[in-house]
Amino acid sequence: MAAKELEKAATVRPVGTIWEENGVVHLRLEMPGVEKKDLDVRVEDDQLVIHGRRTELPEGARHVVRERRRGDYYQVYTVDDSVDRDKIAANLDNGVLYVTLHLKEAVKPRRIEIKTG
Amino acid sequence: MRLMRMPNGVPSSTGSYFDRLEDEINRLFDPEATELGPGLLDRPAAPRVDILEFDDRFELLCDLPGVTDKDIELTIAANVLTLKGEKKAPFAGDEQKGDRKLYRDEIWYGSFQRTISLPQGVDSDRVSAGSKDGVLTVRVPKRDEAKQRTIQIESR
Repeated sequence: MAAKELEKAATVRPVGTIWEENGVVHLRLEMPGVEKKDLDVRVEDDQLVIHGRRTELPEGARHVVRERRRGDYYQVYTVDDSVDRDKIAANLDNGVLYVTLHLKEAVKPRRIEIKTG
Repeated sequence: MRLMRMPNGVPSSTGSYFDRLEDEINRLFDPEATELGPGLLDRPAAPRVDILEFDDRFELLCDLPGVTDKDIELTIAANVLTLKGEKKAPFAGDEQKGDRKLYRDEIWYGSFQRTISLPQGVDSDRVSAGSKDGVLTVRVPKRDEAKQRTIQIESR
């Protein structure tokens, strides 16, 4: 399913930072040039699919210099059972996509209180 | 060298496979995408730009995701446009509070600078700039005499 939409165009993998903090996994992916309406973040079975479409050349324009990477941004992450799928949130700000994945309570590290006596 | 995870969908045609291979090889030598960073040559990195030509103007596009407008400085002297700025570290101003575990950090940061010579016939007094979705756009209008005109052919 995910492979089908890729057949036409070359895609680039967005670069980013991934970290875990207080039981939440944060993804911060750079996707400059993607508008909110052209961004698709979805969970498909055990995959988190991120697809940002970039607009083509505006009408009446031609390239004089072309150095920026072309193509849509595309990345698939595998989401296992430790992630609470109902709590996945995404936010796009200034060309940066933030996704938060909450880990289920059961897999969070837990400190066990040691009692004396 | 880093190992790169391929998206689960393997490209079906060989054409797109080679495109991808080329892309991955280019990425190995791309200071923006590798850990080499700007420290390698200890000078500001030059961000990549696209320049588009329209009938009445040029537009310069530069990807600066997550960089706020106040951290970008754009100056113009004669026909030379200079783009300067600073891309802040991902956790700048937000020190580690204890249990942050970093899994992957590919983001380049530091100061950047790029100087671009504008072609003849542009109106450097009317240059304007704006940013949207992490892309800086600089609009450089052409002077009237440099615009393309259609000449009417009169038959007698």
